[in-house]
Order: sequence, then C-alpha cells, then structure tokens
Amino acid sequence: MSDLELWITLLGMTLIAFALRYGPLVMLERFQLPPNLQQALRYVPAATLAGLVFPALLAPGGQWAIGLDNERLLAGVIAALAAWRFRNILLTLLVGMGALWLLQWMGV
Amino acid sequence: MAVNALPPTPQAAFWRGVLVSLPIAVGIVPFGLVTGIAGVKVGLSAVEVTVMSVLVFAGAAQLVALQLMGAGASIFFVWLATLVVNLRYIMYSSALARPLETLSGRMKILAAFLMVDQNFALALNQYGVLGPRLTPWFYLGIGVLLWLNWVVATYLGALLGARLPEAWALDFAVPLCFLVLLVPAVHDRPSLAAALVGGLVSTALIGLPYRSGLFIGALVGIGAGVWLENRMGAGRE
Repeated sequence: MSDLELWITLLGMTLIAFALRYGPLVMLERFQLPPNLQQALRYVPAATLAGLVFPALLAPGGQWAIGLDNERLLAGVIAALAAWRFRNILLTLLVGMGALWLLQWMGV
Repeated sequence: MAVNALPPTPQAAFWRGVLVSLPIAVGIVPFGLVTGIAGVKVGLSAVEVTVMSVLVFAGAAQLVALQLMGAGASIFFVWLATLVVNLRYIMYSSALARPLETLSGRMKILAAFLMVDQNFALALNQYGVLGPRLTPWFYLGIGVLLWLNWVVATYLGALLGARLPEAWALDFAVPLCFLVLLVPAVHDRPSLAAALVGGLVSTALIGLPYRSGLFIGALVGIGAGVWLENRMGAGRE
C-alpha cells in the first residue's frame, strides 16, 4: 500500500466511523428508526464480534481445526471463561496469552 | 470523591466522567498496545498508526482494517470491514440521541467523534440519575479520557512492537481483545444465537477473499437473533 493509498484508506475509515456515530444522533431528534431495524441492530455486536473471534480460534491456520491439538482453541476457551468471570481486558489477555504459551511449551 | 452525590454543575459532571473512566482506561491500554503493535507489523510507521487511532478511534475496526491491509486487501474492502464492524454505533447513536439532546450542534460533533462502547453504556445507565443537563458532560468526560488513553497506548504499542519476538504469538491478543467485548454482548438466548451463527458462518467462509465472510456471517447471525427473538415472543403470547 502506497502512502497515498494509506491516507485515502484512513480518511475513508474516519468518515465512515464518524458518520455512523453522528447520523442517528442528530437525525433522531426528528425521525425514529423503524422498529425492525432497531431490533436487527441489537444483534450487531454479538454477531460481528463472534465473527472476529470464532475464526481465530476454530480455524487459526485458515482451515477448521476442532480438536485438542488446536492450542488457540483451548487457550481461547480458557480466556472466554476469564472474560466471563472478570469482564476485564487485562486479565483476559494475561490468562489467554499465558494459556497459549503454556500449551505451546507443553507441546500439546 | 463522593460518588453518590449528584455533581452540582456540568463541569463537575465532566470530571466525574473522567474519574469513572480511569479504571476502564487501564483495562483498555493492552488493547491499544496490541493495535499499535499490529500497525507496525503491517508496515505502518509509529506515527501513521497513531494518526489512525487519533482519527478513527475504534479499536475493533482498526484491528480488522490492519489485518486486511496486511493481507493486501483493496481500499474498498478495508472500508467495508470498517462499516460492518462499526455498525453497532448506529444503535449506540440512536439510543444516545435523547440523553445528549441538550448539547449544542458543535458539541454533538465532538460527542459523536468520542462515542465508544463504554461511554454509551455508562451515559445511558446514568441518564436516569444525572438527567438531561449533566449526562452529556459526564459522557464527554469519559470520551475525552478514553480517547487520550487510546492514542497514547497505540503510540506506545507501536514503539514497542518492533522489538517483540515472533515466538510470543502476540497476534493471538487480537481475538482476545474482541472476546472481552463479545462476552457482555451475549446476554440472552437470541444474542447467543446471533453470536453462534455469526461466528460459525464467518469461520465456514474464512476462505472467501478479504474477510467478506465476516460481512455475510454478521448478516446471517443478526437474522438468527431476530428470528429467535420473534419466535420466543410468539411463544409467549
């Protein structure tokens, strides 16, 4: 990616991120989102975030890898328990990375 | 600080927001570090990835964009991914329209720029107590502190990034950051369905170019959540 392309990319990302945050804030004084859309938007975080997490754990090499030899899946499940219990980024990162390093070191 | 006393002025509400978000900011530092590291790994300079954090201020979108840029994706796909990962802000922004309605037009621009998961959740949660005059300033206090924290953490990560060995498998920290956000997003059966379906479809479509599987998986997952909610609602009637 050239310098020019990089700055065009960044500028576009900036505008997209801003428009999504700004539009409803100023327009909804006059309009309401349709109920169907409101309902669909409620599931955006769960669906997109899972779309970011699952492939990294279930298919770290680009192929399905469901088994005990998949260190990232095991470490991810342990980290998910930590995330659920503590709701804390730092602790989850420490537990997850620690589990991965331990599993790699043990050569599971 | 008497946390339970109502802040007397908008200014006091702003500082209340800053104080409330200090522990949250500490928790976000590793996320920022990971973003800075990811930027350097992809070939951006420390300044470039920091400018990205200054302007975009959206961790999940930045990490996905950096992964795509590293994979040689075209600008269009980086933008599409930014759109998909940030769609949740439409929901936040519409829910915040009322709590933030007393802000001037110019301050609303700032408020939108500073919108993140944390000040959305906290401002909405405190609106009943703080009311229309104080809530916007409480919200802005959180946003300003988290923005500064994000920019500094990204820069530090970028400085650090070049020195960290490959064997540490630090790329694994990226999905872990998303995991921390995912867990509270799953709070009932329909949202669990949205996550499971969205996650599995995205994984099944991992071979599609430029993570377009993420886009399709998100749509199918949202559909699953809506379907289950409607079905459960119909069962109750």
